[in-house]
Amino acid sequence: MAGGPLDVDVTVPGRVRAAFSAQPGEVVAVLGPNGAGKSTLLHAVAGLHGPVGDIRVGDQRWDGAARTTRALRVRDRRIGLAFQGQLLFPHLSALENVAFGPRRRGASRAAARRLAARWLDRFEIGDLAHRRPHELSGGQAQRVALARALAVEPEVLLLDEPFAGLDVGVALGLRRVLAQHLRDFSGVTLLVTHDALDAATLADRVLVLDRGVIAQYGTTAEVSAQPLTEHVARLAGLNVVQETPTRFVAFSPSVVTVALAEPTDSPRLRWHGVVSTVTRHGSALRIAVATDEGLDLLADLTPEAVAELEIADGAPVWLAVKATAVRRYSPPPGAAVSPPR
Amino acid sequence: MLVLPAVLAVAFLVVPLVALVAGTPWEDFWDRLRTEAVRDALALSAITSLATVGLCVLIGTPLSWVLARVVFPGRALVRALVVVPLVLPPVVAGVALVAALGRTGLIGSWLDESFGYRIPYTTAAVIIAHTFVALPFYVLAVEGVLRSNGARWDDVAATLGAGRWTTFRRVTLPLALPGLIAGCALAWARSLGEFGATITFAGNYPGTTQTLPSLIYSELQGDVEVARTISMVLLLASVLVLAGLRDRWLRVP
Repeated sequence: MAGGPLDVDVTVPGRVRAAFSAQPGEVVAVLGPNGAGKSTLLHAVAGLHGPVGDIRVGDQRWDGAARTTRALRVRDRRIGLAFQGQLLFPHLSALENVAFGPRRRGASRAAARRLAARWLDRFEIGDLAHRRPHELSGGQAQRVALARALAVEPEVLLLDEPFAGLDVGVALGLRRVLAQHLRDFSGVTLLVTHDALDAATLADRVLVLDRGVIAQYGTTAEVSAQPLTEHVARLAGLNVVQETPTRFVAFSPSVVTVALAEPTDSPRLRWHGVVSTVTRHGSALRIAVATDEGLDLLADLTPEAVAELEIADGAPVWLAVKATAVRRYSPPPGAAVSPPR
Repeated sequence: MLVLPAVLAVAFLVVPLVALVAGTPWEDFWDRLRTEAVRDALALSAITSLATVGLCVLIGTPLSWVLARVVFPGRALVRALVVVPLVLPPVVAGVALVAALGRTGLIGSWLDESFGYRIPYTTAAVIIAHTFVALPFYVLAVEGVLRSNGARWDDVAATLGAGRWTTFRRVTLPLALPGLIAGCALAWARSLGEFGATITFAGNYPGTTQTLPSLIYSELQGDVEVARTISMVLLLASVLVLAGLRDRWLRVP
């Protein structure tokens, strides 16, 4: 069921303040560090925080800033919310969990069960229909949770970290199945995630929350190429440095050179700091450096280079980047920019 | 240092029960239970305790839900008031009931004048007295489980389109079922053993208000053997309740 574009302008005091729009069929990945307000934003759209501002879906007003409009109750909003941790009803079977929504939306008992069975089949777990949640693995339970959210034919789909806590292989399989359904889904999807892979493979747009406000909102390509927060830069595998309040520099850890002595050639793009960790990253070693300016930068080195430089935790080093290897950009006008930490 | 008092405490609790078992006239146990007085008291205790449990479920479940889920001014006070009968001496509970529902009581006088209906010294009075003392046990047990299940399931149900009543019926109640059963067991046990409030408010009339504890009290001045036999029956009932609640109480963390 197509609900039209989603327009949101909400404030949950002390937790999140966000205004954005999304087009029908779009998948918006909601990224941000823990405690940034991602789940709160989802719950606010669902109405679980009561009236919070303006929410419109197409020409339907779910929540109105004007006092004359009463907020639509949670149960009257056509949402499919897959909660973090699934929250399947423990006393109901997988089938009954999925049938719960359609039944409440007016389907007969038999019709609701048929519909639920079809959704379980689509998520490739039709054979588990009669299991209780405690008899399901994490991945299976997550499939039931997603089927339950989709079975109500929502106008807005709200997915809260659907792959959290799953094994890599299980998450891959689920991502593939979910991708199919998101392609077919004609409403707006908000997908809270910690994983850049989700943003890259599932999302059309990325909304970055930082400390309760939107730090960046744009297409996945834009945000990953020109991140405005360190959190997203890290997810995109980049270093990001804010040169001036309106100018950012992004570069890959693989273009960073590390030296023990102060470099003499590139005058501006160099930093002095102390190695904080050395970890394996593919075939390279990734060293994290805390600079004197308070930045956290990454550099990828070969194991040989690390051995040659005798780099260890706590060692003072110089980092340098060629000016041709970086991308300079400014945030689009109107973007709420908080400096990367 | 601590072991000796601990052993003493166990002995203190166990010896009287062992003495009761030993002192029970087992050879004619069944015969004594078959006398008319005992049969009447047994039947009355069964009826009143089950009625008490029913009343507790009927009015205690909504109260538990309100206390666990609805935020309203004075909630703490209401909860405190509900718990009072838990610590109130049963006799005082009886006196309080007389003051409220007795022939000259606050509500009792009005009932008498308007309808000619008198509660004291009827089987209804027994059930009222039992419910008065048993309800707090039920409410605390059910409220606890409603609280620990939390409101998050209510949120899930709401996002799926369920209203409050449907949520209560389809989600809250089934999830609270273990607590409900525990609450029923506690209320039943409390009702079965209730003596002070009952005898004060309802008296001790064979057939209408004489429950098993009241009969024990009477027989202690008559046939001590009968008193012991009935006591044994109540002890067995208590053990049964304890066995039923063992997961709740006997599990050592």
